[in-house]
Amino acid sequence: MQSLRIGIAGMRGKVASELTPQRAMNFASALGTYLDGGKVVVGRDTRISSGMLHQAAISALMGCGCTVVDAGLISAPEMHFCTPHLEADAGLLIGAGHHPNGWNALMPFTSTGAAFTRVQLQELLDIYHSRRYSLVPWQKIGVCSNAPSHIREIYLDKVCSKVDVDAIAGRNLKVVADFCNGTGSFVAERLAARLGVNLISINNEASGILPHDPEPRPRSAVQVQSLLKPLGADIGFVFNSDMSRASIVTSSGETLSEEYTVALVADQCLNARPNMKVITNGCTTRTLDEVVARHRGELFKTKVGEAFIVDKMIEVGADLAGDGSGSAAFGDHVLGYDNCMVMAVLLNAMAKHRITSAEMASAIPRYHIVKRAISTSSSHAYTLLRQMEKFFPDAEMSESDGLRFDWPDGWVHFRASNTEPIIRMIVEFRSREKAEETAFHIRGMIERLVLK
Amino acid sequence: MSRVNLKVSVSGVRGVVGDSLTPNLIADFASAFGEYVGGGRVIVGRDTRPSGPMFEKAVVAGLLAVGCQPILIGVAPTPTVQVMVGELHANGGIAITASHNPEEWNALKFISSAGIFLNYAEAAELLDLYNQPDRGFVQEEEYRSVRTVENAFEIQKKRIFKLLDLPTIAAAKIKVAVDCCNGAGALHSRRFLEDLGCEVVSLFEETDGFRRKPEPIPENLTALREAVVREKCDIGFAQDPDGDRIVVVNVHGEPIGEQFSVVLAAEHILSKTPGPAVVNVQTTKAFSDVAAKYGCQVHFTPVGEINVTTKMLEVEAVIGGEGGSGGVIWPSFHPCRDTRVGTAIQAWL
Repeated sequence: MQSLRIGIAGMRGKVASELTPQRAMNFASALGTYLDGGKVVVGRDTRISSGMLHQAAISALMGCGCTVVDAGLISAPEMHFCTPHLEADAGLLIGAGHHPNGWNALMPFTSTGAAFTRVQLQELLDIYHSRRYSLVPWQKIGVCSNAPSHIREIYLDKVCSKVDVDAIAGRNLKVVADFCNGTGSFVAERLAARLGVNLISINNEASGILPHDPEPRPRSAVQVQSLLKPLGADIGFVFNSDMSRASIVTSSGETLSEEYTVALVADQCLNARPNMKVITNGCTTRTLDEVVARHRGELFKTKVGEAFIVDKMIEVGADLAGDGSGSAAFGDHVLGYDNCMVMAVLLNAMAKHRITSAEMASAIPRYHIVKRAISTSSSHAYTLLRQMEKFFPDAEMSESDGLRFDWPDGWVHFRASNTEPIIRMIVEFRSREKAEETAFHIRGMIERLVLK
Repeated sequence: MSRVNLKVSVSGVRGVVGDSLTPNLIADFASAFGEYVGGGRVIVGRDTRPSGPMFEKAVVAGLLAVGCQPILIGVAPTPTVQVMVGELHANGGIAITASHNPEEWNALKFISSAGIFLNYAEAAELLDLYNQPDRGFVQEEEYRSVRTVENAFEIQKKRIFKLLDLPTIAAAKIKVAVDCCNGAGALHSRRFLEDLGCEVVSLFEETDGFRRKPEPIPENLTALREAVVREKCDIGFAQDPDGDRIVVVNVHGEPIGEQFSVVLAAEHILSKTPGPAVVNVQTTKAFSDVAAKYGCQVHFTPVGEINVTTKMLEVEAVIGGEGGSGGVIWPSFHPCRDTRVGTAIQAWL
């Protein structure tokens, strides 16, 4: 089983078997060598192994002469903010986001706070693979100090500046949110206090022990959903462990697919600013296409991966970017996915337009989406997948990222994950029956191809 | 990368920082040690060298990954690490220090659950484990948390004070000069001596880098010698960076030689509690003469603290040490070299 992935999303793997202290130190040493000293912000999530990897990475960076600013437990959006704010040359976030228990990852950020681009990562990985790290003599060893404690409030100043705080505070909104025992609760609870929102947090233990599947899927939303009605809450959020993904539960008790998170946000942002530019990837729900078209906005599509989307956002000066994993990034904010902002923007819309979350959800067109992860240890997954071509002669095929087949009422997309040894399959059709049936049918075809 | 300056021996792993001694190597060694002691608590202390904080993090990462609980006592003399192993029921200890070597060096000293350095056989077993292709990394469910202990030296001090005739020492109103070598002793030596009732002149008390050559040999001790004379002190003590060696300077500012630390200690201890004594083969004959005076037997061992302590435990010695390094071992306190013990015994004289 391949379970160490080194690529566009940094270094990811199962702790102990693949992600060892040595590999983490080599990766951090490669980063230190790439930067040739300089200042690096290092943060981590609540996973049990994150403490170990955090110490390993800091030690290795100090050994390369880097000045380390230890941001401690921190969410992904705060890292995107901190790195440029503290004038660092790079950031390194240790945390596994949406991965299951037992996994962890090291994700490098550039001085702008964005994830490394493919080119930068390639340069970094060349150093990693060469194993020629520039370690410094004793006089030049880097110093490690703690990040200023008020940094979270400065980040929240920025979030609050994008919304109408008084309008939100005036509505006495009640919110239920599940933080998956990650780092999101620290920042979201402070945000709620500043917005005058009554936040009921669950799974906010910061224990690093995941209470459920950390991908914010409808099946992970059971707890929030069951609390929402009895508490009379206005909206529910299910966050992943580092606040880079979320799905939403509406006041009617409906759990929305995480695909709709960015569509809901886009609908509200476009209400305020029609014609704006929006970025997404090639396998996000068609709902987003329709929402953007309805407001006469402009939609750009990229390959799958936060780095591609954020890059495009910067390139075209877009106001919003996001994908179907439940993530959104905002122009003129931090250069990465930020679900604190998702929460703030949706609460802002509810307060200003005096609408409920259920009304917000009913305003967007719906498709039915089915996502499947198909395990494969094959390194030839793509070659095998190419054989799918002959099965769908009636569809329009696109190879811009993985393989996508489009029909008038729906589409299917396959790609090998950047972060795990799986093929991700997404099927979306107007009707639930058609989506389920197509997913069932195609999965059988893939398994026969890939797993034989 | 040159590896010729990396030394792996019974007294631990030692090398030049950033050249042969890398954070990665240190983490790997710490993991091997954690595996060797079978998990559990491991006391981690370090001296004041600038590379100390970096290696401390590497050691912590290495220990956590194999399921150990690192207990950090911060900047502390090596003997304090050894004492804390017993106090906190730890399975072992790691002292991050290159002892009297200059700042470009650093090292790990490995301490067993008995609070003494690994002996030849144990060190060989550890090296075998280190040389295996796989490390026994545990799943994160088995990870333990990191602890810090702030008052390790206080605990050690209480333990030494119990053994001393405090009123007699205090009544003597001794004036002492101490040269802490900008090392781990700098944080504690003044307080320790003041609590004994001495008047203290302390030198090289900063902990941000060595301001004299760290080996406590006469040519490096000019400042202390001048201070003893200028301040009219009764005695002067010079420590090394990790506080396991001591040299005594007499009232005239003359170093009586590191060889004589253990001789003076023996004179005092054997006169009160005669019994077997152990020193290494490089110790002055004066030691044997003192032992003969009190009719005590002297055992000789190869150089290296662990060789002396092993023999001392075997023959139930009452005093021991290493002439060449100025180390004094008083087993009533703890079977390790300790400058505080050396200091206290001298002060008692």
